[in-house]
Amino acid sequence: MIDKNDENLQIFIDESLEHIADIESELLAIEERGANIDDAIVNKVYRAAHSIKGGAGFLGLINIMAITHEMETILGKFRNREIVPEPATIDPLLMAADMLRNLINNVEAGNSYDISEPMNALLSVKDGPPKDTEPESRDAAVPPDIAEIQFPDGTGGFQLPFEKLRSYRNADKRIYLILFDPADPQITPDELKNAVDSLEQCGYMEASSPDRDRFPLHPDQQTAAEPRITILYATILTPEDLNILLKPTPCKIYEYLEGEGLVPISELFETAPVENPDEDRTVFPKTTAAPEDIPETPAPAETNPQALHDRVPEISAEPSVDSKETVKERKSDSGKSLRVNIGLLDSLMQLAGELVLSRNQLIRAISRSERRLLEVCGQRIDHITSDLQDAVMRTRMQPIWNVFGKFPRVVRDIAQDLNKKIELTIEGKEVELDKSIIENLNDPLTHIIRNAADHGIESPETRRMAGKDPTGRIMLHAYHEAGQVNIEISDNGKGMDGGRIAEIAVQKRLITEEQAQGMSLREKLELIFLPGFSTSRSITELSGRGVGMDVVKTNLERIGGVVDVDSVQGQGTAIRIKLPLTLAIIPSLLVADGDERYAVPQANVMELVRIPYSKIKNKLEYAGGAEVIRLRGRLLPLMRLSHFLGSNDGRKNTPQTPYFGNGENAKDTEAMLPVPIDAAGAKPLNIAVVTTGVFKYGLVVDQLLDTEEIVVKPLGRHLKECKGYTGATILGDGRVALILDISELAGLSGLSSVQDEHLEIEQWKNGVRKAEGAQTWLLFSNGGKEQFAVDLQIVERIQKIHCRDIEYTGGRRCMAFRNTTLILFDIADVADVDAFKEESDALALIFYIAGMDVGILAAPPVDSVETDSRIDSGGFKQPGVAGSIIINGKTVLVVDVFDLAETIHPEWFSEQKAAVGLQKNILLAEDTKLFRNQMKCAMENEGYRVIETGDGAEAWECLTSRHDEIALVVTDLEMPNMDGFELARRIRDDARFGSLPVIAVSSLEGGEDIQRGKECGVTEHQVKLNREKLIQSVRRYMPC
Amino acid sequence: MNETKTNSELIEICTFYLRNQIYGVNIQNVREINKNQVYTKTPRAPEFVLGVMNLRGRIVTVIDLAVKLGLSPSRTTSETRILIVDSHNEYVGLLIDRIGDVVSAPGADIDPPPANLDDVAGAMTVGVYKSPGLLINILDIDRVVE
Repeated sequence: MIDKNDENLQIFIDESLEHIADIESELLAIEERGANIDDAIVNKVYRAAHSIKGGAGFLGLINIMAITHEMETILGKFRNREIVPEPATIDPLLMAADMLRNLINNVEAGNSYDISEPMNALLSVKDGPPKDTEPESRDAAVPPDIAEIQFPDGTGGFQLPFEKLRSYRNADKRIYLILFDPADPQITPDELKNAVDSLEQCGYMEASSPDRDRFPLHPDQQTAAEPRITILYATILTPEDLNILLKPTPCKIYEYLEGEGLVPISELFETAPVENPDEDRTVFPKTTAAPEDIPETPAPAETNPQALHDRVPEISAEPSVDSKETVKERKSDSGKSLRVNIGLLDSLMQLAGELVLSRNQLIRAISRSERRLLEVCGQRIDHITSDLQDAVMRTRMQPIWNVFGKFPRVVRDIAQDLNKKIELTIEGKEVELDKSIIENLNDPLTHIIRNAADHGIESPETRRMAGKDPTGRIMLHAYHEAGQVNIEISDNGKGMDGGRIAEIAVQKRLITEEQAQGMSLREKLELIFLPGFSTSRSITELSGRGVGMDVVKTNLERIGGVVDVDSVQGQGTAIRIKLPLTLAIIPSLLVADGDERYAVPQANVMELVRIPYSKIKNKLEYAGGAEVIRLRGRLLPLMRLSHFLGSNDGRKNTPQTPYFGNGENAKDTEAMLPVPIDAAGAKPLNIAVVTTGVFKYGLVVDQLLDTEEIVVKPLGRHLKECKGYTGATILGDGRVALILDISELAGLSGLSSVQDEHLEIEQWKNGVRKAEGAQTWLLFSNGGKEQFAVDLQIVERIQKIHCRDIEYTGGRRCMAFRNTTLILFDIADVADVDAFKEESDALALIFYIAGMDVGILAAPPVDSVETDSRIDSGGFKQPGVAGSIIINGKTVLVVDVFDLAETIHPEWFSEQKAAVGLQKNILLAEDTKLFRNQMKCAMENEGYRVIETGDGAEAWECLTSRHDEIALVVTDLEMPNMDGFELARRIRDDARFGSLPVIAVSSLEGGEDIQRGKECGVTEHQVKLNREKLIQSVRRYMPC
Repeated sequence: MNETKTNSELIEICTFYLRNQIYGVNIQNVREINKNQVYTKTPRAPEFVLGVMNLRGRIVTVIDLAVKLGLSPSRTTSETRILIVDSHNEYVGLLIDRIGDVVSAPGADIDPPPANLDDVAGAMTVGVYKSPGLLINILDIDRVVE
């Protein structure tokens, strides 16, 4: 009986779902107001429920009708102040709304659903104890003025006090006069009874003739003296609604309008829809105008003035335009039609018109072969195309509220179930996203919100004990940023325990113990995205549905999203999702492998690195047989696109032994080398550093080309199963380029986030690194005579700048950079060297000092050199300069950036020093200031607090006076006054420091020193210039 | 679309050559014949997939029909064409060696494929048209494209 393809049914479904979404949020609003009922909201819900009921009645959906009917009854009682809206009474309504949604989503099976649960709940509310204020009491007052309501033919009439009339009007109600003729053979008594019952449920019978109890509702009463029934009826129903309500029963309906008297309703419809101020500016589809037409169109849903307010006609999306296909397969078959603002359609139409004009112009220009005219046409078409693209895209845009809207309910339900107090704040609900993205955001977001409410927010008692507000807060915030949409879900709950997460991951054999130890807090948190990770002890009815965060991540990736997590134990968790605005058009980086071009979505691209051929030898390293480079001190696993594509098979010769690389390592890895090293041709190594959201890797390509906005097109079925591509696009020259799927690429090449860590540890274990004592220096000048060097490891990045961008504020140099102010120093600000010369271009070497980026001005070019020369801190030492070093036979000044910054801004560092509090500290003993500063900053950047001392004696003094504040000692071995060996021995000999770990650092790796240090009680030995390893080692001993 | 053999009416068959052997497909499945042979290779795709091409904004998968029929991979010549066919509402390009005529075949002159046709080709052949001069293997587009 129910035809799924019926257009009317589809319209009913779309509109009903919209109504339900409204109903839910409005019910919550009603609940919040409690006894202080806002009639406007109640009426709105009432009308929504009624519209659904009307449509369902028309389509024969009995279950939906039954539920909406009971909902109406209860809402009516709210309005009459018979029932107070409170959780106990709102719950069944919400339950009913849920059931409605189910029923509507599965319309075919809807009539066979078991709806007893919500029905019973609704009925129990309806039959509950009525409130004491009875509506009848209001009738008691006798008003002075009385309105005479008479039939147009003068055959009958009622009297209605004006005051009452006014009170109805204030309550948004209308007055109708309804006539039934029981003598009409078309009316069966049953129908009449139904009609009267419906009327009673939907409004108030102000008066009737004959009296209500004397209605001839039974066949045997048909002979009653009264020839007909007249009812004066007050209701919030609109005339259309009323018509539907009484549809099967022939009757006459008049509406009473002040000043005009009775107006027959059918006339009102046809001639004067303007009568209703709500509908003033709405376009009435012609079919809904006459009540007789109702069977053809499910008018009820249309009758809601709210729904019509946006002037939204239906247009169905062309299937090929629907980017659904671009996103792999999707099961949901909802959303086959789309509501589009008429204004937008108009502008589309206009653009199409312009396009036609331009085409004509173009044809003329071609036939006359007029170059100038052609150019003009080209420009014009260019404009129109981009406008058109924009407009078409906007038709697919929907406010994110469509997803967010349900979360107040989700959070409320969880809070009630778990006796928690949770406040949900939603920001940016107007942010718009592509329809297909919106549709696929629902599940991941629900999961995250549930997690936050269920696991994140603690019970009110726990919160109170922790000194927090007993009401937990969840923030849902959407905003635009750099052409993407960010969604942030944060809570102020208990946060996540990185250590515990790592433990579980180890237990589940997702990572090894050693890997866990080397991980930073953030890396540990990101373990929750690993497949198979689900904190088992936290599975509850609510969020433990066997769906882990890995599914959330995969689902988001499928729609081009990137997710990351941040958490502070005890303070809360924040999950950030970055989404593209649309899936149909994405900014992409084009790369080339051989002759073929490929597109990489810009969202995945972090940065581009090019290693000149001459440097490949130094930069490309091998760890456990895998190619890696060091990118700012971190290992970046490399993946060759040509290897993935298999395009270099047979094209390039495979050398028997690696061409370069350090010899001893090569022996181990020879057999496993995945890619032959490109010996032919002096080509640079082009790397696109890409991220999957969880980890980064370097995609090695033949060429890095342009970035371009590409239109995503789906691939045919033969290529659907072929992993590694998300789709294809057509480039400017008409050729097709495949779009690479960065995550799948990593998976197919055996890279994974774990392997990322694995590499690091593997390398650490094998000691693959080059001569440990050697250090890489960045050589630069500031345009003056001197050459400077700075430890490359502490350089965050190098930024090209224009000197004209440099501003002078408060006597200091700075420049605007990515919405922040970058402070710039010249070495001459502190040290006695030549001053920086402002020419057209310059470089800023960016360092991370005291919690911010600071730039040091340099003149290009810069160079990096590896040397094991020692720093001579003799003759050249001065503020900002640690000493000198001989590089390539030249004396170079070694810059101590931390000292430089401290000399100019001592206040940056004093704040940090003052911040010693509850947290345990690291005691650092080191006599060379340059190294001390570097190690200190390295540790502070990781969030540790450091107490610095200049030698062993100072350290010992500090340790004995503040022993309970210190959790770890990091000491140099060679120091004046008291050396590291002695310090370690004293620590071990003192019972107070029995278990205090001591990390010894030295500038050189000497087996002898290590042995001697061990004997003295040193827990671990590290090379001080190797920041990474030092930090890893510190992490092992410091609590997170 | 492929009820080639049951009808007694005339069936129009678009013929083409692969390695000098003549084949045919019901013309109703053929959308166009394309001379342009610029396609983008798709590494890691099944062996018979040559790549994807741009057909007026549509991404069309190009299949080497010879490989699909168990022959050796095609080499392109000046006569090579791409036959654009419609299968389950998706356009697919079939690389063929040379295009032939369109012939009208009475249903009665179409026989079921001979039993000794080899497995691969046999599975894709719906019938053989006994034309006055020669026999034409009529291929089932949906099965070829499968």
